Amino acid sequence: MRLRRLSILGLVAALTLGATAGPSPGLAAGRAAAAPIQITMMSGWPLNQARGVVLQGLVNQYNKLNAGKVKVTVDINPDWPALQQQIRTMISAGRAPDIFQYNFNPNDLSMQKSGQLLDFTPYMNAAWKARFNPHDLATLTIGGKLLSIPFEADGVGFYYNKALFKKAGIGAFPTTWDQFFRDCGRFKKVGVAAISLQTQDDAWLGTNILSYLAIGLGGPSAYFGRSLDTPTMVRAATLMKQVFACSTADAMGANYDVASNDFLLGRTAMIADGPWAIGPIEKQFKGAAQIGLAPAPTFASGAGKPGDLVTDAQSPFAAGKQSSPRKAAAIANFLEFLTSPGSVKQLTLQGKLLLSPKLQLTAGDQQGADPLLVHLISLYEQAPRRVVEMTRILKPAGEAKLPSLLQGLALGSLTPAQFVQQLQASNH
Amino acid sequence: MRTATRLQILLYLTPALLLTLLFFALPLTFVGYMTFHSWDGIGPILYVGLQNITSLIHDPSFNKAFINSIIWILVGLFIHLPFALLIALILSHRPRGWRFFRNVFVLPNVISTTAVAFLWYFVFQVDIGLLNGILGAVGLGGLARPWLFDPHTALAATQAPFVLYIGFTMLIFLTQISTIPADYYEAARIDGASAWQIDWHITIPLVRPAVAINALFITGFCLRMFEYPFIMTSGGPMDATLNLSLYIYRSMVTAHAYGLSMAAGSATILLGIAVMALVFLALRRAGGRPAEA
Amino acid sequence: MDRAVATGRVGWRSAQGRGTVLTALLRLLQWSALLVVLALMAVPFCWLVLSSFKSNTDFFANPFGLPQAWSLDNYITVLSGEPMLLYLLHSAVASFASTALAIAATTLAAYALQYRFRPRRGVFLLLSFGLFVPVYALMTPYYFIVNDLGLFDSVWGLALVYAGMSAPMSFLIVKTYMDSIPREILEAGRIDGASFHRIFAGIVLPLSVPGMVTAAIFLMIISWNELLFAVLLTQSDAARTVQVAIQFFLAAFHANYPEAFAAMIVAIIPTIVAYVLMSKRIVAGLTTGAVK
Repeated sequence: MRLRRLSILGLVAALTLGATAGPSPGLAAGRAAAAPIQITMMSGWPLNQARGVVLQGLVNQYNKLNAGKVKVTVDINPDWPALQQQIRTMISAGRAPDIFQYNFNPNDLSMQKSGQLLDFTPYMNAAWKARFNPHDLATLTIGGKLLSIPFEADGVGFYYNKALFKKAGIGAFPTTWDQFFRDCGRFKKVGVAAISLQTQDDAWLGTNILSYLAIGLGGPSAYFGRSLDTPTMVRAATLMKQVFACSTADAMGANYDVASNDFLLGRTAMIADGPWAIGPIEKQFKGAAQIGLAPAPTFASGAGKPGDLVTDAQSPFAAGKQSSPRKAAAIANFLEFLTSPGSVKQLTLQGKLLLSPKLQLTAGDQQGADPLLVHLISLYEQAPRRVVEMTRILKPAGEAKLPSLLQGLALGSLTPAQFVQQLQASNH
Repeated sequence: MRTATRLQILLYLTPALLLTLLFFALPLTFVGYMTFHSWDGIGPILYVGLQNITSLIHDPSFNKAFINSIIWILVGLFIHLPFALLIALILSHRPRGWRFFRNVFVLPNVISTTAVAFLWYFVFQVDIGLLNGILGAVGLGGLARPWLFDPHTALAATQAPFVLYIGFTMLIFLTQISTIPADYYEAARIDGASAWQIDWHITIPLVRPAVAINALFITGFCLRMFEYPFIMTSGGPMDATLNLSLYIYRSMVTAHAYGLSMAAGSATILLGIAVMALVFLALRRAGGRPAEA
Repeated sequence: MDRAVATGRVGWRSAQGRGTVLTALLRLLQWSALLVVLALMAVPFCWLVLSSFKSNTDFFANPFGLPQAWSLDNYITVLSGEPMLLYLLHSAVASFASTALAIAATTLAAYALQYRFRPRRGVFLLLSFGLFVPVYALMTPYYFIVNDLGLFDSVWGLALVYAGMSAPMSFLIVKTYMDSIPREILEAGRIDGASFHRIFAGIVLPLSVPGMVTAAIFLMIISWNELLFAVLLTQSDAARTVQVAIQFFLAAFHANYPEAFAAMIVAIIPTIVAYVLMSKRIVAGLTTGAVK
């Protein structure tokens, strides 16, 4: 009896739930020209990371300065691929987010061409323009419109474990790749692998090395030509295969976390990674006096120069087109604040990022800051040339194929020539 | 039983039909439509006719994914399912503590697939993995290998958790067994049948509906699942563990090739329907119609 | 003996003295098999719990060893860093609501399909074929649908999507169980003059409860653990579920596995509680049986 009543009640409740689910708030409200203006920023930086904390601090600061006029909220999704997918889907539905960050790929301009992004040109006054590198602005200007604001541009340096180097009897970080391969053998003798590599997910740590090999041989345009199938690339792939032999057994099939923890746990002596590695390194090595940072090795007879730096993709800010001019102006104003000298300094030193807006550090700043970070900044600023990492500039189809091709190269099922051919073939 | 008006039937069917229409029929028209179009997720949608289909046929990754998905289904139907049935049969005899066993057997399925995938990712690591560690400890260190990166073992390694964690399948069998009337067993026991004979002649034939359902669920799971290859191997090495679901993910999310992705989606659905048709045919052949139609 | 009579099932003991050595051997085999399988099944949960007490580097140093230093830090971080209770609430609402809706809708449909009518098989196929659809293929359409219904970033939107996605599974489980109700009972009801609705409410529904409970267990666990659409269809804290929050600890370049595991344990406890509570209902169903 009771069961029957409960069941019927349950049925009714369930059907009612389905029928009366109402619309959620935030959707339509945000666009109305009510004061204060609501801006929602989508971010990939969680609050358990320094960069997330600094960003939230800056947002709070801005909100206080503009109390009653503008309110910025940050919606966080640290799963970067999922976040990017969400942004893309939103754009295709005509609901581009107010502000978001993305990886700029010169070979995939679909977002820019969608017509859904805000053009910053009207808001780009001389003062704001001066904050940026003209080359960056030019890159992000598509069809005469400035659709993104340059922001993050992380350099990839070689972090190395001085104690392990000493143990293997190596004096200094190798300046040429020949030295690197010799050191590789020395490391093996003391039971350590030379370098951490990764073949899973986007194979970031692996493609970093491949990129350095390529630009070391062929200069900054090594993989920017009309075709990837060049003798330079084949040579780079051949050497890449040898580098795999210098890594751990787990490198095959390692994801980023396993590979980076191999370095932190002293199983490998080097890792080529971005500024975000500094935080965990310092936590693990307590002050990091034991860890050094060096530019990549080069080739004695290659077209690359010592100090050439491979970087992650430019990760600029973009904004959805707004129907309200007030809101568009508010968005531009907020981004100007985020790229101001004070904000950039905070984000760089405390957030441990490398940003492309110009950074001015006083001697006092440098003394108080992270030595590894300061070193990376100087590597970045003194680099003769800066080249975006290979995987970030491929066409999406090539980007999807590269990790598995790298695995084939490591396994030996693909010759270097085949690797390059198939990479070129998939890059359409 | 004919005493029901069409209206009454329709009334009772409406909620479920609405859900199905909204969440399957409608989205699938999109999938079908996109199979013949090309789209990068943002720009214009362009008609490309059969191009997606020919691309798929000539794509070695897709072929690998297709075959791997079939292998998953075969492993599911011929290893996972019999194993679940065996455990269900053992538990149906109510040995001491059977409820405890049943609950613990369901536990891995209660944990998210992601967590289980991470566990097995670490089990199969080379230097820090549990399997190689155990092999080394018992003197079989020679067998240690990169399980997830050796093309010969990678696929089986990603299937290990699926084969072992039969909780849900077992639960369905147990529920079905519970519907077998008690007097069947009474009669058999009086006739002097052994437990094994009872299982073989009474229980197994009567769980046929559960076999059908489980076959459906297993097929559906194998076609939808992508955490195991995604977390353990990213589909590698060289697509050795790629399955259709992961292929769809990769072509949509990384390669921004929605048309290709949806075409693969259509292929997946067709494969599922084909498998189910075969399963029902086989069950029908084995005697007795499954209870559904 | 008494046990066998009470449960109506034949235990291993009452095999009629047909070779006691064989019986003993079989019993040994059965128990060894059960214990081995038990160990294998318990490993994931035990491993998660053990790992959740380690630090990140301790974990990578030795993923399967005991913690070098047992610490509750991960749990503290998880519970104080994110509004976990809020996320648990959202997950609970999405799971309960979607399960209730799906079970309600599919139980009604399963009953309707007990009767013969023209497009019966077609309706059956229509209601079950969703099982094969790979969910990634549905991402974009679902986003558009939820958006157009005004249910983006809402637990109710998520609940509706989950109900739709799990309807085929629920339908099949309930229907299979309902099919096992002997026709005589339904006939008896009809002869007694009961109407269509009355037969459902008074006879079929009570007898289908174990099937519905089994389906409910599956559906709740599946929607509780669902990640893809929870990420796609929510954006802010207003609707975020616990699985999305767990992903935060696995963010690229900054993953902290033990913290993620601690979060997973926090997320698993409610499902275990729900399962334990509901599995008792299945047992109740098992012993009442269908035939008087």
